[in-house]
Amino acid sequence: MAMDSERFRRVQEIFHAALDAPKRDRERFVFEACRDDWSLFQEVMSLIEHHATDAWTPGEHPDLAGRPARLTVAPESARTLSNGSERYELIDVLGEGGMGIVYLAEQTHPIRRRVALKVIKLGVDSKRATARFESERQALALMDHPNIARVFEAGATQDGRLYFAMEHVSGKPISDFCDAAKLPVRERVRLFAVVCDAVQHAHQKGIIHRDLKPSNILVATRGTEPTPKIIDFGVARAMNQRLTEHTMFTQMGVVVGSFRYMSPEQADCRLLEIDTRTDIYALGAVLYELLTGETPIEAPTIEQTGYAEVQRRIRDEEPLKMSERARRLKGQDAVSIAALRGTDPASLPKQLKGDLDWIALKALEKERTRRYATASEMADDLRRHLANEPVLAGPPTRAYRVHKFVRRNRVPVIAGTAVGLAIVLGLVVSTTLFVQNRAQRRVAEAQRDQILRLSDANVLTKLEDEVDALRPPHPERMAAMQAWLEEADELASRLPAHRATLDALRARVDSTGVKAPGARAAFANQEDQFHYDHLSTLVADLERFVDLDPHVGSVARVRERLEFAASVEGETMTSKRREWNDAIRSIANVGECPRYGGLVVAPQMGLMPIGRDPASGLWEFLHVRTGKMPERGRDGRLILAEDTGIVLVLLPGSCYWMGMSKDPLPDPAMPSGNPLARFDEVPVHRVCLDPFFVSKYEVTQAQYLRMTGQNPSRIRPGIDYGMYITSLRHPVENLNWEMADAFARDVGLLLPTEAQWEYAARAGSTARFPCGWDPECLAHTENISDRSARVPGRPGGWNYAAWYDGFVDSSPVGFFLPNAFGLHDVLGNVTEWTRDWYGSYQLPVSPGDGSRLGGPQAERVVRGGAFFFWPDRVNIGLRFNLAPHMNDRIGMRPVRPLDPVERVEAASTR
Amino acid sequence: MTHTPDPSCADASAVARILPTVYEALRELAHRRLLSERKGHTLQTTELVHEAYLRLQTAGTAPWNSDAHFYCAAAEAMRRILIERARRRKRLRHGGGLVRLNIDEHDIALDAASDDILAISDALDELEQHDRRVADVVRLRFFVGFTVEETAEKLGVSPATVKLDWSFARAWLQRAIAEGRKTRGDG
Repeated sequence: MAMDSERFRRVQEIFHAALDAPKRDRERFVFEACRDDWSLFQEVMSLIEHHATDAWTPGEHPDLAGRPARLTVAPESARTLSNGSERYELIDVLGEGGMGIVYLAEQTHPIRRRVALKVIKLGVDSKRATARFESERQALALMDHPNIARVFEAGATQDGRLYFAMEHVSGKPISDFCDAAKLPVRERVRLFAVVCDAVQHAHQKGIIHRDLKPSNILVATRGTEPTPKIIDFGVARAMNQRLTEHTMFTQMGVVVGSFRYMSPEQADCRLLEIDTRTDIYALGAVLYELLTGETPIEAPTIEQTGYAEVQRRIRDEEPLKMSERARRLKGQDAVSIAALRGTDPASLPKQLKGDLDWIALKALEKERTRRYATASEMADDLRRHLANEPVLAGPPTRAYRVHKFVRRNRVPVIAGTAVGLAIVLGLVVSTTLFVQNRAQRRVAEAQRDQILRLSDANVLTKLEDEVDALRPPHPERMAAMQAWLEEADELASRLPAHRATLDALRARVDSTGVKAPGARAAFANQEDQFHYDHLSTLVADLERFVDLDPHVGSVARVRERLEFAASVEGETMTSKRREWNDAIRSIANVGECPRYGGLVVAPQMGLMPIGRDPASGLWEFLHVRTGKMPERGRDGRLILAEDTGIVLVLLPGSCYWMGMSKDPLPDPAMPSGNPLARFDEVPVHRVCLDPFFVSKYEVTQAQYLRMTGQNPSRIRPGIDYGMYITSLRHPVENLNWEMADAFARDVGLLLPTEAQWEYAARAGSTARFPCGWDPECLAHTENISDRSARVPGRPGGWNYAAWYDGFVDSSPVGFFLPNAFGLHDVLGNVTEWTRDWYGSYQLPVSPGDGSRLGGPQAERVVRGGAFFFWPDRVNIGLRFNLAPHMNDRIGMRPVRPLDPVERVEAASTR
Repeated sequence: MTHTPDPSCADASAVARILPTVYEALRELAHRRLLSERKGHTLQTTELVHEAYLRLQTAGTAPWNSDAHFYCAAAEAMRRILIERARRRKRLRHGGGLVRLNIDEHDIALDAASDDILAISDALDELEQHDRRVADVVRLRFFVGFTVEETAEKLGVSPATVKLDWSFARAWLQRAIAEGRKTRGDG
């Protein structure tokens, strides 16, 4: 940002002068002072903007805002850590890892105790992490188990680093401990079963560890008995590392260490699929390592193979049986690994063969549903093995191997899921058979209920999150939608069971006589309360999930999309093939459609040709998703009804002059000589666009209501103005950018880029209006503020246009005459959101759709004019900047890119 | 005690000459404070600077020609100390978990994040090229912690001028911080 001193003086002067002006006039003032110098304007405005803000968090940091600056020399921050209510003194460094440093510390306030303090490196969003931690706190507080280290608190240091205070455990990682004590296989199994019990306890409280590994399972000898303790419960969840490929790389330290214990669902970043069974997988990996000295999946390194390869291995590579792995050990390794287990290389494989092999492999199943359902089932199996009883786990059945083959070869999802379901049912039956004692069975069932409920809450969140990705309802997404619905139906099928459990819990309140005055039941027992609260939330969420109204229930919404996607394929690509062939021939024919210059197009999924507009000569199409085919009147114009869908006009690709200029230019082919042009409308510049579809009309209230179930418009239908009654054919307005963008994406369209918008609106005109220079031409082409809009309650004055068009507010779309592309209401009726961020015309645009690149990305651009614009304000170059969450009387006119021929052909041969 | 009043930091050579002495004094003071002070005591930068002033003064080794020289040098010294620390922290952070954090070295707590301090320092350099006085105001206000009145007195200008300069400098620095954060992708 080089600047000469004279310029710097000007910046200073204008800055000080502007601050003297009232706040709302400042921008205007700076604009005037900077005249046409956009960069000077921006320089000063950026300073003024930061004049007001305080980039530092108030209180903690040197205060540039008012009080004298203050940098403190704070010795206590060196060795202590405090967040106001809690205070810790650091005593020693216990360890360091990719994520941060673990200190031994003494908490001095509010109570005095030794804790392990894990301070996470900068870069984690500590505010969100602490909030997440807070939300789990209730559950963590319920966790009280001798083999689980307590997590007391999460907080943020003054420089924004996140820390966790945990019970300090002195002990060795379980693998080191076992090796140091030379524990034989049976002792290792016995010790490990205790770990499973602890994990089960946490799972019953709704806590998933997510990062189980030997270094998180510490063992100390208390008396003669080795006692394992699991640390870091709740930490991974609070961190909620979104392990995208990016963070995988930036946090290499974390991940490389944990890959070996990471389940396929974690490796594939399907984080919402993570449930208690993710921990089961990790337990399997730890068991495997304890018994064989090696992890099931060889530790791959990203540096060597790349992340995709690592993912592939975790997903596809079947681990060797432990006995096989032990047998393959060679030489010194074989001797030492066996020796550490108090045996010799020949007998180790024999000890692992059979039960233990199957137990480990069952826990390590790639598919969650095939693993042990609970950690206690795994512990039970381990203990059955120790007692020489038959275990639950067994060699894979033939059906299972067939199923795996099917999955690997990606045959239709439905078949795969049906098999999967059968297997789950089989599993439930077989586990039930193995639980012999009646009382035992009841306890086991209660536990299974709880875990099912927890995992169902996870599945529900995951499914709800996926709904947005299942749009637009394109045939390409049918398989994904079907898979989603399968899963959703399975989840919904468990709703009655959850309801029954909830009723049973409720009955318990009634019988104990504790009755809450409000709706919420109150329990004497804290645990019951916890379960009740969670379960009632789950039931309510599930009920909404399966609501039959597609605007409420996600299942109905996706089902409706699926039905549409199935129909759209047939209608637009098959049964309308003849209409499409006509359109394609006509568009490519230069004699018939000179404007397209011989453009070759392919049938577009979801669009149906309407015909060539007699006036513009351009082809128009119905967007099937949003409604029905319009009829054509005798005058050649389309007749719009409330049930009509969005009509898209195919515009040829072309280059044009974008922007406005105050200076009269000699070239009549360029926009010029507009004294009203604002600083942001200059300079005039050349933009080239690919062909695209643009909506002929502004989106109507009927269309918006049909697709979203809502009508946010302020001009309600049914207002009787004498000359007309408002209807749903008026444009939808009062949209903020987010709503407009969401609507467009929902139906498979986009908001136009600014360049596309102006190109479409100009339709070749370089004048101030599409209809020419004379404001009189607006009388029949645009609904602006004319004398019919001058009604009691509105300002008086001469500004109203001299004519009467009859409309007080907005008019039904398409009422006024179209521009040369056949588009209606581009400068009148309502203003329209565009996709672009607001920025200078000096910024470059991307080729193809002309979207503006760079800039401050704070506000979006609104273009066009509206029914409340006086004629002196209407101007085709006019740009408005508005924050994306702001509502105003703004509507929208969506676009859609033209699918190129190669793509369409590739899709149809697939 | 003031011989040749030169109310600005403009006398660069005079400031540069005494800078090492002041720098050493400040560093040593800060460090000693940490060892001897009871825990929980926080020390204002301003106090530290004043203490250094008195110390050098009473030791009879006051090498400066005017108070302004001393405070300009103190500001520069504080800035260097802060930047040193900020850089070290950055190195630590980028070095991952490999470098053991020596907690005893954390004698001065930066209230602001390290990257912000570096951004401020760079923005100050740029500001200095255009307008020395505005830069001086930043030095004394931000790095020493003087009030508007104290700053005005030391620089020999009116408080109103300091206020104007500070208002501009503040916007300039805030923008630099915000831009720095944006390019780093945080906040």
